[in-house]
Amino acid sequence: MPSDILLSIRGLKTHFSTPVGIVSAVDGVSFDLTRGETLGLVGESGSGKTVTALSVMQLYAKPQGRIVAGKILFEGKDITAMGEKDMYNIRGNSISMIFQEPMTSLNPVYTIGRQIVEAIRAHRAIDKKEAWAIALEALKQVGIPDPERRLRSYPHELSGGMRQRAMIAMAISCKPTLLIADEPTTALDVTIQAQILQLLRELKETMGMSMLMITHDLGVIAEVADKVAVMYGGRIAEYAETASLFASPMHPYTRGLMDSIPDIEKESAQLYSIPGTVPSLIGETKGCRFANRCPRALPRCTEEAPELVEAAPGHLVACWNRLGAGDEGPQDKRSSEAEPQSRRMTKGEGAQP
Amino acid sequence: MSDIILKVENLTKEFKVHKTGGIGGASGRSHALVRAVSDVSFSVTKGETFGIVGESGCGKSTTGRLILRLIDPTSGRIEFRGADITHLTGEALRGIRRKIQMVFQDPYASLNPRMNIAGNVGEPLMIHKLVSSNTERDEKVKELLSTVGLNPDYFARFPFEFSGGQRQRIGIARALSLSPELVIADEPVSALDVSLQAQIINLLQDLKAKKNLTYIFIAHDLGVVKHISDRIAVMYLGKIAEIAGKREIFSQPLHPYTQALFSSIPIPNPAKRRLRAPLGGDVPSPLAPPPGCLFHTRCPKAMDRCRVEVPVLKEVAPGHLVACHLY
Repeated sequence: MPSDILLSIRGLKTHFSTPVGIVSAVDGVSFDLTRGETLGLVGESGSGKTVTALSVMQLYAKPQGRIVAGKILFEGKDITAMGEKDMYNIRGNSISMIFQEPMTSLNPVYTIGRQIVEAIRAHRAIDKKEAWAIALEALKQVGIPDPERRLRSYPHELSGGMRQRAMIAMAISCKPTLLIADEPTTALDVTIQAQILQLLRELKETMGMSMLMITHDLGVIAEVADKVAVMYGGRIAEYAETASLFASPMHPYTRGLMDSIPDIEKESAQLYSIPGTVPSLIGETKGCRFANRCPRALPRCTEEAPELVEAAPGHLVACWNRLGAGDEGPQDKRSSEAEPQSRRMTKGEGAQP
Repeated sequence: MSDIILKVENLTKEFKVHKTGGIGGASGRSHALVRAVSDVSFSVTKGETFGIVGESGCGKSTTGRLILRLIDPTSGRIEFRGADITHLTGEALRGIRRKIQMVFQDPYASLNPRMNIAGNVGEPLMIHKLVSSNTERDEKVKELLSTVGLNPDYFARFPFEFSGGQRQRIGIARALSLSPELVIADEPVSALDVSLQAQIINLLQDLKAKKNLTYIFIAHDLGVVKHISDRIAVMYLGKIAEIAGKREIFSQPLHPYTQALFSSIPIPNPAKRRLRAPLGGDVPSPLAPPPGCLFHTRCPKAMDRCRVEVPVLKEVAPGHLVACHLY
């Protein structure tokens, strides 16, 4: 394996035991993240993108959750085989994570400075004064005005955008090689989102970090990612360079997702909508998990799960009937029936009796 | 343009809050006023979809609630089909509520979890005494469910048995139960995944055509608002910055805030990647709004005049209104 691969995930399966059965939230995920690159992980709720990230951080709910198969190689070492002590040295140090909602990820009763100092001193044997100086530097780096005062502020005294900047400051204070950003701008307004995305892009360049950007927003992906992995039902549907994915999506799900977004630059009378809802991940599933919503499904699709294969150089897709260059999109077909087979359970939602 | 269904004039709503912005406690006695909606005027023509966009705290939802008279305005006037409804109470207010209905953002919070679907959707029918028995109500609910694309046999089920997209359909069925003329949809798709968003937007459009509805569509997602609206108002800190037809406002945004807002949207096309955020800074605190134009603290084109004088909303081209000293 070439050494420019920072993170390599191979056949990862993270399952959870719940009262209603085994939920295969991540079910055979493989991808590579090259050093210095941003990989976008895109998918809807319940697609397994966050659980994939939490598996890398070893932060998924235990003991219900378990990695039942696969490897996560970070700088060549398998994280899944590491003990908690080794993981402690990596987490927050060489791999950091920022979360969607900065208000709930910061401790409301401690100042910003104290929290950043705590993170730094967990990994480096330095005194509080030195750590405070590093924290101050980190706040400057993320563009927080009046950083001396802000170090002494409590999270509630900061706006949403400033809080997310403070979270980013904490995440980069130990100079990580990999930054995982889980929906970092979803809770923010659009003008603030643009600021944070710009900041992340700049930090990645100046610090030489790699980034795993998790989002449901294809617009955000197009702005920041070098490569994209599209997830559906706990599996990778498609993996390609960003330009290639947007120019010629090969998986019908990717195509459907793109056509579902109202295009700000064009006008259309009707949006394409993918019929149905996301599948249940409980118990064994046969075949492709998108088959029941797919406009191009073949009999084979419900029988046999497609492998992720390289269909064009660097462009991987898991589909038995992938879209080619000349294929029409599914826009012309639109479902008028709403979520017809709703006798399924999706994560966090109710099941039909 | 004579067929105006709703007219809002100089609508203002002030809320009393604790000065610290906190929740009670030590400084609980000193109050401050937040002007959530400030001097807002617009009118909506029958059959159109009027979009209101803006970031959190701009007053778009408060405007929606004021129109439905869920809260009372501090000052200003609301006219529905030519009649002043600003101060209606009791039976008269209830009569108006039959004509104006709302679809809410969070389909998990806006349905009563302890009532079945017939109860949730049919409650307005019972309140307005449009049905005389539960059997009659259930029949009407079944009809409504199939209108919004749900299986009518679901009427006896409970909200927890449905997914987010289905719940939003139930919320729409309830809003339609009284055959309203004006529907205020407050962020009806922002809690939903992209693929379900498209389903609900298409449903709203189908229903509008079938039932001759007029919509006020409130959202922060500019793509969605552009898709569904005929005209769009952009709000910032409680005030309207700009109103125009959707083609006009997207091709020629005049207000510097509108321009910045539109160019902040991430476009799902990597070839159009932008490298700089168009706006610095944060929205000022509504507790201490800046003098003059509310946007001058972030505006790249601010002049001396903007710091002292509040710009008024004026028509600079037919149907295109903007509140900015540049025009």
